[in-house]
Amino acid sequence: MTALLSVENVSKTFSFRSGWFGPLTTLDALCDVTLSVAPGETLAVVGESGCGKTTLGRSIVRAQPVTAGKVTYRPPGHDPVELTALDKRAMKPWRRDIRMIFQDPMSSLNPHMRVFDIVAEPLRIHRLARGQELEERVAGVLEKVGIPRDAMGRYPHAFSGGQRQRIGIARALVLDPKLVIADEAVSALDVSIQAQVLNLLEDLKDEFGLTYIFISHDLGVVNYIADRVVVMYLGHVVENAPTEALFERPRHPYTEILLEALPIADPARRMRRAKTVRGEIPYLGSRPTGCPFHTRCRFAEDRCRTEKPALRKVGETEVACHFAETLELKGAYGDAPATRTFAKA
Amino acid sequence: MPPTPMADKPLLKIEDVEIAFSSPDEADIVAVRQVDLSLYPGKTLCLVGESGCGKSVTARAVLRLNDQNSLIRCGRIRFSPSDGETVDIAALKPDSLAMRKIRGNQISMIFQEPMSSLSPVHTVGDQIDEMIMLHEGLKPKDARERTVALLDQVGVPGPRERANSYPFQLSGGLRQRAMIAMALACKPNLLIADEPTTALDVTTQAQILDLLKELQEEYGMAMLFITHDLGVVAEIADEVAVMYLGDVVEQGNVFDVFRAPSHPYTQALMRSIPTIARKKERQRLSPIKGTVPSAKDRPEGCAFTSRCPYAFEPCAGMMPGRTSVSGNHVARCHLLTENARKAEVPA
Repeated sequence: MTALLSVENVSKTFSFRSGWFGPLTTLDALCDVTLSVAPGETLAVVGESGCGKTTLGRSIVRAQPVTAGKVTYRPPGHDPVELTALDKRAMKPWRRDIRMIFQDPMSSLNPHMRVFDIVAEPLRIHRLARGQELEERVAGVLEKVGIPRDAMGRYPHAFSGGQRQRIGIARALVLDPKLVIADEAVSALDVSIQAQVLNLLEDLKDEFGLTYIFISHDLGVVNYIADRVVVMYLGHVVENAPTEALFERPRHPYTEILLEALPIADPARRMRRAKTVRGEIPYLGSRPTGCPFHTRCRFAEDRCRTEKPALRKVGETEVACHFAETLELKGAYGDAPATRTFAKA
Repeated sequence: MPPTPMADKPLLKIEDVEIAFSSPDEADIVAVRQVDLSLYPGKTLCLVGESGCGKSVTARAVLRLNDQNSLIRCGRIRFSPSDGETVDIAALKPDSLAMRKIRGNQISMIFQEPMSSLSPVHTVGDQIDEMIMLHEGLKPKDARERTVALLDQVGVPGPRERANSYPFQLSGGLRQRAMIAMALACKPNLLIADEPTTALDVTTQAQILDLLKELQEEYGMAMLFITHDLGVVAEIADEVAVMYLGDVVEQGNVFDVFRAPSHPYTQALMRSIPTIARKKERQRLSPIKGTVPSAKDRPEGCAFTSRCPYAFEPCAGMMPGRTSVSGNHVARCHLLTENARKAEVPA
């Protein structure tokens, strides 16, 4: 199947001066990132703060230009479009197809606008509807996400965190997009609300035939929602695998560490951590040579310090590690599913 | 409460505490009601719940750190250090000498965001020195030696140099380590940790949890650990208390509570977190319907009534008593009492 969107060798470098007359410093937020997402797939991008997952999302929607590489979008029934080659005007129609949901539902909704106007704005900008039709479409999409029609006239502050996130989702969906990029869309929510929003995202995906790029740091959520997972570290893709393969048998030592650090809500599975988590993420500006992960890797050898591993195929997995074939890494699935008795009181 | 299997006397015993917040133009808001908790030396008690459930208010009351418009309406907070007399913290004035002697010395606290709880204009070392000098009367030079030793112990690399860093020069994980060093400076009997790992990445979180467990073993201190993350609870707790909208709905040994959650809220909470499971074993999440109501709209009875799938006639009007499930595992739910078993309950 051809990919709906593919990202090829994309790099993004930020440069800034420290102080007015200081030297120009550069930071490589994305290094040679390649990945693709198939139609109907949910692709998760995971990693810790500063790994470049948000920069990747923003680069795909062209919220910022990339330094190198290309992003290609293949709309169904249309020739492929190289988004990175388009200017602002030429990009505009494609913005209807690729939409974004943000993490913090408070700061991503304009507090001066009523909910109706927030959700209607994309339709107005793209001149897709007006008057009665506009109102119907807005009310329709709000209803789909569970916001009643009579709440349209209210301002964002009148809603709870979960409802605000629903409004953000409605704003993304009102243009009938093909691809939705959800950047930490459930991270700021309480668990019970998080579950509601996750279920909503799944239902909407089926109903509208959406494709998701789901950016998250929470591997529990990712295991639940994703078909495939891309693990990023310091701006590099280190592993790209189907969800089950990744959780069953990670191929990159960093993935193993992430899985091991994940707290599992079952005290019976406690104490399985073998202290492999060590060190801290290096500062982006002083990225190690060779494999970006070698400073924290328990398998690192001389080769890792000098030679950067390329992403290559091992089994179903794409992985960037010199020793991927030989490493025996531990996954996150326990031997047996947790048993919990929900005694009906 | 049924007798606890532990022989020791509790270090901290919170009895029937109710805390209210007053505001000039509204009626008082009761933030927590009828809270009963016991914490034993060397053990970890986790308070878990969603935003606004009163877990932080409860923990802060132990140090009398809640805002001035708060009031402990009733109840006692008995603190019994091994080397001293029992004090009722609830009866002390927040700014009294007695309270200040306890705060930071016998009971200390670490917070969620180390950046906002450390002073940005003092070096990390100076802040820890100050604490040691104030409580133990050491000279600056000796205090600094202690500080360096503490930073070393909590795993700050190059502690002597790092002591001269300002908080903004440290990473989130190192800042939290510095906070922990400060909290441990006076060898407290009790450490209160309010979401200490929530702002951290998972790998850093794992490191900090391991560190806290190690230090607890070494110092023999008790921990009151506040979190919203059931995964963290499962990892670190001996005892757990689940809170919802100001009430402790279920509490007990962590293994018992996770094996057989008995309050509908605890059950619902556990069903709404994604489990790490293979696709064929994965189940659709069953979220709790609706949202947490405001404390103003809380019924007289069980706070969970409005969202509970099993709610029946006595729930809204009458606060359920604590019913024993097993050992020291108790839950507050009418379904667990005798008279409810007779009633036909629709599922």
